[in-house]
Amino acid sequence: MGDFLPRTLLSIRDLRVYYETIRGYVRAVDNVNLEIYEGERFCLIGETGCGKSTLALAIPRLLPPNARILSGSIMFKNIDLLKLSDSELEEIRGRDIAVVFQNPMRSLNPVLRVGPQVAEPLVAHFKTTWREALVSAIKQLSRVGIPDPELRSRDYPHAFSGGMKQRAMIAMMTTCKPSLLIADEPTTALDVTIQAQVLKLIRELKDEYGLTLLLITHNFGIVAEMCDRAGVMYAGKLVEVSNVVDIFESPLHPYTKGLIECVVARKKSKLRLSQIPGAPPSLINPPEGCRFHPRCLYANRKCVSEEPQLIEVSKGHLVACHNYESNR
Amino acid sequence: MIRLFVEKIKLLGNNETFKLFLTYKRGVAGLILLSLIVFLALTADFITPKRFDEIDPSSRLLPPTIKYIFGTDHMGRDVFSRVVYGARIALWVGLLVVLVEAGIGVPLGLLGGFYGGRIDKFISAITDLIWAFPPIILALAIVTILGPGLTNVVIAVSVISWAPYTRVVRAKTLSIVSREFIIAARAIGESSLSIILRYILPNILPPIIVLATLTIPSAILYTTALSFLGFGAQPPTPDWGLMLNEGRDYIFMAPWCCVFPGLFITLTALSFNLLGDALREVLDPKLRYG
Amino acid sequence: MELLTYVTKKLLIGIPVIIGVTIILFYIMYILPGDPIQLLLSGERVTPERVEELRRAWGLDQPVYVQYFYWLSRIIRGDLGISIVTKQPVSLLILQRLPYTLALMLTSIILSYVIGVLTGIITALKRGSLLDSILSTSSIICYSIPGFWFGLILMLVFAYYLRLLPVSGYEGWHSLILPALSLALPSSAYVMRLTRAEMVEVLGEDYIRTAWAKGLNKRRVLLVHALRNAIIPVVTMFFLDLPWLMGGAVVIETLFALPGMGRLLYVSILRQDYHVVQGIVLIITVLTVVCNTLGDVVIAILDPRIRFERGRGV
Repeated sequence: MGDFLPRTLLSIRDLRVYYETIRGYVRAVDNVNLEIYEGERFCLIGETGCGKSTLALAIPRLLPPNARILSGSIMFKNIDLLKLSDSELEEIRGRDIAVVFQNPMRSLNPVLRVGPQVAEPLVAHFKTTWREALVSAIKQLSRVGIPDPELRSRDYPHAFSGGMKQRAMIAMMTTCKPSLLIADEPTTALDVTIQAQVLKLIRELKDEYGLTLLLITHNFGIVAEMCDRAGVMYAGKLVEVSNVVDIFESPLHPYTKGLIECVVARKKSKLRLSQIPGAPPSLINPPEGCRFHPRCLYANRKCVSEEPQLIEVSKGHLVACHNYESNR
Repeated sequence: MIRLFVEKIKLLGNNETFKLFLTYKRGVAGLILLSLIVFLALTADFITPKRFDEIDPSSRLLPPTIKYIFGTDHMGRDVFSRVVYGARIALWVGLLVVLVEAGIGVPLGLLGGFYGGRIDKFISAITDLIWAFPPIILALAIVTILGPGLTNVVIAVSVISWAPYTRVVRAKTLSIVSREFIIAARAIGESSLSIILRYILPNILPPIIVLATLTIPSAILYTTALSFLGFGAQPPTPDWGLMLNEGRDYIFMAPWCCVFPGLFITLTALSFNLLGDALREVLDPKLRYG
Repeated sequence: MELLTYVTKKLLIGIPVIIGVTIILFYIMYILPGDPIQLLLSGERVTPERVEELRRAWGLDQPVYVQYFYWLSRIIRGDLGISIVTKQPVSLLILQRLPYTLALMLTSIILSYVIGVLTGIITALKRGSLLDSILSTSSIICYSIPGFWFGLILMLVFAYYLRLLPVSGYEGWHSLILPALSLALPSSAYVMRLTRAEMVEVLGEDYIRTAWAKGLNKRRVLLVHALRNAIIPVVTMFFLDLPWLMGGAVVIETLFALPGMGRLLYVSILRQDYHVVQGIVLIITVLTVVCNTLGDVVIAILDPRIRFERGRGV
């Protein structure tokens, strides 16, 4: 790993995304700042409901209809994505920024054959003919490991297994060789045996196409396997960002520490499984100050009243905690 | 067991559900409209100036005036009085039809869903068959065999419309029967009848209520259509459909004979449809959090 | 290949249905009160011997099932009997009237589905807007209106007051406008609601999000991905509506005095011309089975999942 400065591909500033519900505004992403560098593999980790999917899907603006992007900017190749019109965004989606979703079972159109669905982005973005696009699609299906791609391209999605559907999705999303691939829990819905294969495929394609990977997950095993850098989210806030090694070996935020202790086997054997007491807070009315303070063992008065900012405390390691030094 | 039913009804009248219903403007409007019509039907004797069969040859086909708010028909009868009495018939017939068609459809659906297998296939086949056939023609056929009259019309319309009840009850029953607590109950040795009464019946009530509210309008529309054709109510019954039949000959010179009865058919059907629509959204949890 | 097997299966089911209905029809006719011979002769003075002769000639002294087979064989050859009242062949009467009924049905179903689907899509896209509220409430009103009353009102306004269209009878294509509107009104309201509900549901599905993620333009996502899925239940409804329209045609044709099969049925029932009634009911049954089978086939073509999952429907 050379010491050259990598270029920033994606720069998220002061992003706030709320969901409008009957019970009030759900503050899913609350003032988040994040930089993603070209060519890296970045993981966004957190429990269910912490806002990681919202953050990721805000980039191509693929959020549900009740989502409101209240403020902030997302700079991608010198363009603020949030200021783009729908038709401008259409050109970027699928071509420069691609997304692989969590549930492959429902992510393919059931009444259209797989081949045309994989070929569609090529026709839409590069104006190729359908014949050429289908040929490319079949090649792509083969690349992602689908046997008999020509025959399979004429199948309907229901004939595909879950793993094959996800591969087809990956094929679909990478035919245009995007710069950024966002993978939102791509293996959560798959069998354990298939998970490894799909992750391997993503890694290979990343290297082959030179794309930047933004991977969303709640599984630390995947983080360890797949990523260079990681960011931990809690209750709509980014609480720690660092390279993967530091996250595992010297986490600074109490939440991260708690998570690591939950899942990673320690050298000293522990007799009890550790867990973080309490439950994640409601995002409609999150706690004042540091959102983690109700569950934090190290919380003091400052934590209740003042919200900690995400600051760089050592090279490449950012944390949002008042007491990061004391709980090292 | 009665206590279970009362509890279920209390659940329906429960504050939260009722408050939610009140937010559905269309549903509330439907309820108000329906109350007005029911009021008319109940107080018919008091608010009508004339009896519905009071003939007055000297006052034939008079346009609406203060004396005759809706005008008079070809026999000098007050259209307003006839329309108001007609509300009684319409509501009564609608209710009867729903009772009969639910009385047929619900047990069939229960049997099919509960016992499954060949019984289910047989019941489903018959139900689908009757449902696929043009309803008005089937009703005409039944009325032809049985003879004209409101009673036979009620039977005919019930026969053509029991299918939705069977389908809904069957689907719900199937979903409940496959659950573990039923298997557990059977394992303890609970009788089939008891299982049906204690577990299945209370759960199929809400969709049945919604369905009943939504099928009353079609019952009224079909029965008035059959009366319009002359196969239903017989003169001098102030059935709205029959009034349209009688007034048809004079439509150009005395349109009020047709306009008002039909208007009231529409309003009655509308009130049930508005109410039923809102009820369905309130009682169907799936839609509520959509 | 699965499509072909599916279609054949559906066709095969239809045949016993038709046969079953013929049996029921015949039996009903058989037990109806009234001696057909007397009805045929009605009024003429005849000797008891002549009556017996006729009875034998018509095969009425044979047991039920034999009579059924005679009747069935005649039906298959196209001989639907003779009208008791007009003495004309029933098949001829029906053939004369059928085109008018079909024209009416066709016009009204096209009207109803074009209006219904378009408004359904618009309200689905503009969900929650004022337009949506207005159209939705209007649709509830529309299917609460009795078709025959609506026809009377239309007659009153357009034919009488405005003198734009004929009051009744068939004077050309324009004579079908008011009747078709009367038939189409409740149907179009249901179509609008169904289309709207289906579009809304489909638009919330994951594969639509995938389509957006691919960067496809709005028109493609809505037409090729969303509508293509949402329209399936609407097409099912289309084929189920056709039999319903046949029934509605009876009322509307009677109202507007159109020379169609529906009115013939009504008139024949009143005149107790049971051979005609029987013939028409038979034709309607065959048409209903054809419609249902056609519907099943079309759905199987549109929705590949149906052919794949045997027995499980949409």
